[in-house]
Amino acid sequence: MSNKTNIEAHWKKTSGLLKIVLAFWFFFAYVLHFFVGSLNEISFIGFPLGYYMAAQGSLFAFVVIIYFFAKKQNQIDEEFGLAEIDEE
Amino acid sequence: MSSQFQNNLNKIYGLYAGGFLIFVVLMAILDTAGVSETIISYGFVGFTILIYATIGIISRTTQVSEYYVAGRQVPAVYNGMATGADWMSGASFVAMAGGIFFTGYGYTALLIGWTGGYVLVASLLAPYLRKFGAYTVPDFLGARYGGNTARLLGVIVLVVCSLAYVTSQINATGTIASRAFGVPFEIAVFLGLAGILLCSMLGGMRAVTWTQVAQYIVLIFAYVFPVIWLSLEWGHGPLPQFSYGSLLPEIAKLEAEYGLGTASYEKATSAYKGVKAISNAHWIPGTSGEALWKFATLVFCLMAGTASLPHVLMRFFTTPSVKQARVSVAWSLLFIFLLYFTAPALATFAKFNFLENLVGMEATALEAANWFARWKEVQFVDFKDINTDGLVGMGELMIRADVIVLATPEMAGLPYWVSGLVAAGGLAAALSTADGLLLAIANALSHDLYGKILDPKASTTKRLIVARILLVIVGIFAAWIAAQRLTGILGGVIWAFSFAASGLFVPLVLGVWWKRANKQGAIAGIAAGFISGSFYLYYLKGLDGTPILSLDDLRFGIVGMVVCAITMIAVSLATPEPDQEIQDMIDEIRYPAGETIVDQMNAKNASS
Repeated sequence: MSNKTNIEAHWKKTSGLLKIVLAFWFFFAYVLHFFVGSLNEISFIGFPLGYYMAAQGSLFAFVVIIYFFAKKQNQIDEEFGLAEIDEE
Repeated sequence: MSSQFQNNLNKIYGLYAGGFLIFVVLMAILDTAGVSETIISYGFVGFTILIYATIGIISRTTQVSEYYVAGRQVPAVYNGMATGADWMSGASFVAMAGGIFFTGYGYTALLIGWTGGYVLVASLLAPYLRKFGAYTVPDFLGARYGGNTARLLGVIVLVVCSLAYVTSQINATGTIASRAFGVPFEIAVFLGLAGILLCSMLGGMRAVTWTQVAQYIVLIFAYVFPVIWLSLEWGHGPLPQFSYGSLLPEIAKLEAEYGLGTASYEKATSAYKGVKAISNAHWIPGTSGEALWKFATLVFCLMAGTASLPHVLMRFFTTPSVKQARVSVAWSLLFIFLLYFTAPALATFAKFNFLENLVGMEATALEAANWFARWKEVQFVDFKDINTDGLVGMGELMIRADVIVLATPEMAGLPYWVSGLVAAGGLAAALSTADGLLLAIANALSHDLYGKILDPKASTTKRLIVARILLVIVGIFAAWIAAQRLTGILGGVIWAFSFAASGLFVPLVLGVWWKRANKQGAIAGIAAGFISGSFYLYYLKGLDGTPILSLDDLRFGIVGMVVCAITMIAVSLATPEPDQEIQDMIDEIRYPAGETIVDQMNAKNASS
């Protein structure tokens, strides 16, 4: 099942997903917090937005990113027939 | 026993959680009925340790794969809880909210770094290491970078970073046990060690996994429950994480009123170690280039450290499949998130209570307060009336960061049993992390150093005996270091992240993502990264050097990682590419289907 071109195509798509995941990660880990001063001008559910993103918002974004990644990567594995065979 | 236990996990842990709640209610009733505070403390600490020890003993095993990776049968959700407990240490539970209380916005970098690192774990490493099928992290380095030199270097980095980490955890268990049982710290440290070894010695990873799940349940309840109580009491509703925003402008107003950050702001200094007055704004950020750079570098050190700390990575070796390993990282972060996104709410409540209710009160009333006397006795709080006006000034009341979590319930007037619950939670956090770390060290020494390098022909029985003896020796050594009280809780932990990041982050990531990375490059990279990082730390702390580019001792991992990456890439490119066998192995790691690499190698060795 696992011929060479299939494996290469699978890895190309996997690397593509990694780039998307890391782009979101970079945004919520760094980019956002460079603008904390200006974001604090905006009010979000009663909080200054810049502070809230550092204290709570980014953490939530990370949780969502990983669930998204786990789901997408599994779809890729199945698409190329390279997922594990479920034992149960 | 095993499969029956596995099938009934929900029922067993449901009963356990219910039982724990009943125990808490019982303690609350006893407290209200006037039973002494000593007995309440004994109850909380003693009862929870007894449960962990029981689980540890029931889960004993003599099988190698059970001992090292819990038989690879831990479902994703439960592995998530175990990882949560493994991960959240005394530093997260006891020290982090206090750090945010004192340092303000700058320390929300801890929250971002210690959660965002899991994105790297999930996407760059965990599933691939699971497919490889190793027992330990150096195991992977040894196979990927052809031989025992890389393996040995991996063991050295692992031992150094995990030891730096575990001594501060044993320190935390000692602090809590000495208060609960009223024994000197030096003895309490060894009591704590006994509690740790009871959980891990007989059952290795299997026992540690199932005690960590139990410890997670205790620690998350003990952390979140008092914060919700305070929130309800002060009219912020049952979800403080979304509703404390209105306190922020009020805090800023009070800070300005008391003159924080102005020339006239007077700050007392305490004779006690680590006890200090407030000197930073609570939430208003520094927006200078340097402040942003320091924020980003701390975040990156913690993230890279998260993705290279062996005691965390090895938790993902225990899942039944690669797919489950990925999902398990998501569950882990969700369970960790529950505590982390509560921490700033707690820090803010504590700050508001401090400014609104404590500052401005009569000095005599403060000194008469029960909680103040109790925490001053153990040198955690202090007060000096610098301007002799008879009132408590903002710079005159000094506290230790740990007090924020441990004593906020008392300061805010909650009953004593809540403090007992918090102590049990802090103990669960420190014990569970110490267990994971000690096991990581002992497994690397027994599996990699002894089993693969020194005596490859040793029988499995002999290897497991060696593993257990090493666990005890490493534990005693770590407790002995902890008894010397060299570092605080938070400092030792943050250093561990930079050590791990310096030596392991780059070779692990490139091992999966860059086929061209070879043996020579990895050996040079690990050695150069780890030595330069360690030397830079010595330059800062030992030689009192000035930080270069504002990279202080919390951020020395940046230096190590940069040196490691440059060396590893340059040396790899200057030497021949890895042989075909290793390139094929990398191809196989990259997709989930098929047997693990280690199983394939074992099968090949058995047939030849």
